[in-house]
Amino acid sequence: MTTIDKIGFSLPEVDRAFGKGGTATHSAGGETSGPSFGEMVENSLRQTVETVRAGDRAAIAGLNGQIPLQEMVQATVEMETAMRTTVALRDKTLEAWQELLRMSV
Amino acid sequence: MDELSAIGKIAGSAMRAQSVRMRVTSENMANVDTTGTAPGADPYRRKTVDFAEAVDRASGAPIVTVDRIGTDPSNFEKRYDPSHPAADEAGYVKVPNVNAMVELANMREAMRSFEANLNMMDSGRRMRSQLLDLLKR
Repeated sequence: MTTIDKIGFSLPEVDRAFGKGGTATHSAGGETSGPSFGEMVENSLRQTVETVRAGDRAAIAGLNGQIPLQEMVQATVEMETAMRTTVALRDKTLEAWQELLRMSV
Repeated sequence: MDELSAIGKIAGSAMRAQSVRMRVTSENMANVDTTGTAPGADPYRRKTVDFAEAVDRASGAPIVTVDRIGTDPSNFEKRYDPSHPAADEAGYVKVPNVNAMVELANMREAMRSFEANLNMMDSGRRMRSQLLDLLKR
């Protein structure tokens, strides 16, 4: 059992994207529940931006000598990781999207 | 919280604690010859650092903090120097209870501990980036 199963992954955006029961449901009327996947991406991006801002603040405070150097390095590493995760996920998503576009119907 | 991010926090707390220890050691070293100013006055008293375990709220992991900066209660040595402004009636001056060799050993230990935790942090970071590299293939 992975950790995700244990915490019962219940992001509202994800639930909406996949339907309540966890399986993809599609209403016959073509009515959708809004841009839920976009919202999810937006939310995670916002968190990344927040981490990057924290890293920025730490860098400035560190240059002014207001916080310990080690704290500044830690915040910068945190920022770097968040950036790399976001970029890697974006690349993966775009790749999948392009794969869909190339699909011959 | 992600375990690999917690490594950074835990090792970071240790590095901060060792920095404080190093600072106190350098304070002791700097004041190794600091005597009192008034006749018979006490000289600089050696400082010590006590560490304590704390819990990081975000990850629940045990981290280390500086509990308090205390003083070494051992006795001062006396040196015969009647011309010194801090000399008592008998001509003796109290000198600080700082032993340079002890401070040197303390400094080395703080340095080694700092380096060990730095390596821990670096390893955690490398593991994280290696994991992320999987997404690029």
